[in-house]
Amino acid sequence: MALEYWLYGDIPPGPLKATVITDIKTVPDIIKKYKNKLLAVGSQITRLSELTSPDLIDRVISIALSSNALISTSSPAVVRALDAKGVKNYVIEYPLELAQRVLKRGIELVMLIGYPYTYGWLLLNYIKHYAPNTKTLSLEPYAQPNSTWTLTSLPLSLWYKNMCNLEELLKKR
Amino acid sequence: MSIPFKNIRVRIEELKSGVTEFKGLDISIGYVVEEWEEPPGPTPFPSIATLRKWDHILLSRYRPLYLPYCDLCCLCTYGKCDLSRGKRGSCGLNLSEQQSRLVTLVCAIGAATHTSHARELLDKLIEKYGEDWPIDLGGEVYVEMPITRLVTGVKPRTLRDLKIVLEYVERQIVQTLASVHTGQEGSVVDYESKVFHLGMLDHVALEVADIVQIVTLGFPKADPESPLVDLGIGAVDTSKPVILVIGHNVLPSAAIIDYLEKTGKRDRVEVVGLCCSAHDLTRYEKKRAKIVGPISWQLRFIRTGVPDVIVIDEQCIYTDIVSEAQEIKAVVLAASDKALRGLPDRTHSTPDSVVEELVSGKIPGATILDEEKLAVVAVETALKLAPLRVRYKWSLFSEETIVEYAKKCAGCRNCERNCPQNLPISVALQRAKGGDLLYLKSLYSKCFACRRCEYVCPREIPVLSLILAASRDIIVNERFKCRVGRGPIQDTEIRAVGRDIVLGTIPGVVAFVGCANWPDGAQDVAEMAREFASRRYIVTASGCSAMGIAMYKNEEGQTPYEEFSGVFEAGGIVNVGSCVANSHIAGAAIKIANIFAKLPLRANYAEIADYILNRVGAVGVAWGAMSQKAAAIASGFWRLGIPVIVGPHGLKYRRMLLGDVDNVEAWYGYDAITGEKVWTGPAPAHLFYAAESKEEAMVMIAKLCIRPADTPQGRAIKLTNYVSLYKKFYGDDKLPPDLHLYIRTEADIPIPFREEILKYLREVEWREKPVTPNPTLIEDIVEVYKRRRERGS
Repeated sequence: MALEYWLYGDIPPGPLKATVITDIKTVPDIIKKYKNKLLAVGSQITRLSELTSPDLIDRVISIALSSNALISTSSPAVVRALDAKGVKNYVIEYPLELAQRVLKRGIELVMLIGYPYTYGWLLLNYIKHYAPNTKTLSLEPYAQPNSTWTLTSLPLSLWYKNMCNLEELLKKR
Repeated sequence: MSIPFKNIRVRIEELKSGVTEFKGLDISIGYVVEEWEEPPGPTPFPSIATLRKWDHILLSRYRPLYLPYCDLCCLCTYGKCDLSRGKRGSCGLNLSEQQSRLVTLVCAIGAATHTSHARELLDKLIEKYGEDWPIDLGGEVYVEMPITRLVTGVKPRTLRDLKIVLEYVERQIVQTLASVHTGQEGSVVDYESKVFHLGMLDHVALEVADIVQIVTLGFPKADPESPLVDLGIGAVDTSKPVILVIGHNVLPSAAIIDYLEKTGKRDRVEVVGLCCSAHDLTRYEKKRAKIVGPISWQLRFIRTGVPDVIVIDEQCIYTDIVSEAQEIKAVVLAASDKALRGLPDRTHSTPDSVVEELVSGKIPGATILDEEKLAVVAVETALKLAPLRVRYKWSLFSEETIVEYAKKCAGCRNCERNCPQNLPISVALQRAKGGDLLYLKSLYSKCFACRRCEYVCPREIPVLSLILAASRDIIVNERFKCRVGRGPIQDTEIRAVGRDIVLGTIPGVVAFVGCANWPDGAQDVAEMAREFASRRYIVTASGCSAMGIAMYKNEEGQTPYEEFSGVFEAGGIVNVGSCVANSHIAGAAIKIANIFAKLPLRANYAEIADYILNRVGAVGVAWGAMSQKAAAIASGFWRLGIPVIVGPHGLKYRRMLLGDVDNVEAWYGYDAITGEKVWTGPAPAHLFYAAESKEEAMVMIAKLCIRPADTPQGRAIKLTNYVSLYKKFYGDDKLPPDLHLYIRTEADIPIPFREEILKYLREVEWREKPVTPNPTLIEDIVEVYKRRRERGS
């Protein structure tokens, strides 16, 4: 693993960079601090699921439910999984329209997972500059320096284990 | 107004003297603009500020949403400056202004590139065919060059007339580019207005470039039945010497074909193309030349070892192509001074001596800035070189070699951390170690062969070559049919469909345009095109996207070009041609306003754009948009009132133009007849939008085809598509959450979903809204309409 924690196809963008979370145990504390929160799930979650485990989407949904976070997604696969579980606390919403609404809704914490890397990078940078009161937490397998907090880049198998651990940690709370 | 020449222009309505009589004569020093029947419009040769009011109207509705790639500015020596979170740089710009400045710069690069291309074509083809060569697009096109007429007010009749048009474009690009200099523009909206200006200029340049080559080189003239040609690496006859042309300028390719024909060697040499040179090559030689594929196929094809001679002209060519060619002992010939690539200039050497230098390996290639000489060298070199390099043809690695290289992989994941597509290369290599090459093969369709994986591999594994070798059977079977680019849309076709497009009964015109930076391969474009053609939209295509559409076969083994008609009609898939042929898509929208609605065309930009925005349900989809040229093309569509959707990589253009669907107040306009302020609804909802997924794009396409002027029947048809696509992806029990905003009266409700929608409307306390048949965003248009009514026109 190279020393840089970001994807070096995209080098860090400027002085405001994420705090890197190396211990997944600290994530529940961050999540629980905020009341009005949202988990945005991108369409790439299906690809991550193919590469890790078929239960990944279920675990992501579980993380959102345990966090009491609204799920925002436009991924048909995620919508199907949500419906299958009878989850109601979600909106089908396109990411750019979500970005437009972050300020209006007064969302305190946006969590991101399953977006194409640069797409997530740019969405996060929009929020960083134009909705500075909204904190962001990247749960992506690759670090996102434009978020407030980011997981570090890890091999997918380790990242998946982290997601499983996070799910358990949140359930225990 | 910016008169592009000598600053003197004299217009004489009527002059009688003892010796002569003039009527309607428009004179400029150095050039005479021939008068045409239509009266002059309000904005001939617009300069930066001329259409500013229209731009500001658009920008007040579609506000920029900036997504900075970088928080810094490093364009001058005051900096670097940190612009994060409201800070300003030494020059005074903040982050939003800097983003709009960068977008302006990007579009200036794109517009300059097309204009330079147009200039080269115009100058060289005037030299060859003369200034008096007529602009004749055949018997079915009477409104030739609608963009040029709309923007400049000039109705070009000969190549000479295009000189003045291009000179105007060049001057305006320089003027607008200068605004990017430190300490010039400082307003976001005015920068964005300049972006629109550059886009409009770009469209004029596109039109000039394509029309010049169509009228002189015998390209199809608005032919809906232009021939089908072979596309794909597997279609290339590798038993012959192969000349590969890459780029966008057809002149070297045309010269090669001419030389082969003249010397009777055509049957002995295979001539194939990549990117827009391929489109134009097949438009020139309509049956025999072949298309290898879109621009992202260049390293794929070169690494098969098949090409003997690679001719590069201009734009989008891999910049390290000389070293790639050297790996397979092929040679590179550079035809443009814009892409010399360090090759020695042999423009003034004898062809024989250059061929000798190339074949003997003394030089890796040569610059030859004379197409005819280049053609001789290309052909003769290919004939001599091909037998010497037989062992390089199809010299992809064997399976054993792939496994050997895969075993070297340390699993550091540098490759995937540097992959723009985030492809799981490391996983594929781990599996390949054990001999399972399927995962490596699955990367082929998604990889666009940038080589970034190879540059960062500490074990120097040639990752791209491994992917290609694992995909050998896919590559050899890449054989498709692509319709040759037809050029403009016929006036008769516009007459036939104009009414249905404006009323909404043809649900929309969807243009798949642009580059090959597709997030998940070419097939997504083909699937989208097929879906919308099946839904009776008019589908148009150009550039690499037009090639992507061909790379898909239905269950009967037909490509979309074989399955659907090439007519500009509901359910047609119309390939207009190369990048510069995008002008015909914009031109078709303009012609609907002019031919069907009879709006004055001449220098009447704002009124026509307002008409298109409010009535013509057209959407551009640049799913793999990559280049600065694509940005300029998109911005030309924005100013013309046509929304553009890009793929997820398109977010890197740093700025979207989004309407605020939730803000009811943002969606008011005027009734052009009564002048009354009326609610038009969020239609189209956005002007520039980057979709994250194919599904999102398809729903958004249907939504962005909705227009305020739709008739109830038309709106119901459009909503049927919007709702059914939404249901297709998200479930039968779902309805789009903004559906109520698009239903004005119960007559708008799609019949197949009527009961369900009525129930939904009751839940959201929907109220009926007036239907406005004559919506406009320009208050002044009310007065224009009134004057026209008074004149009875």
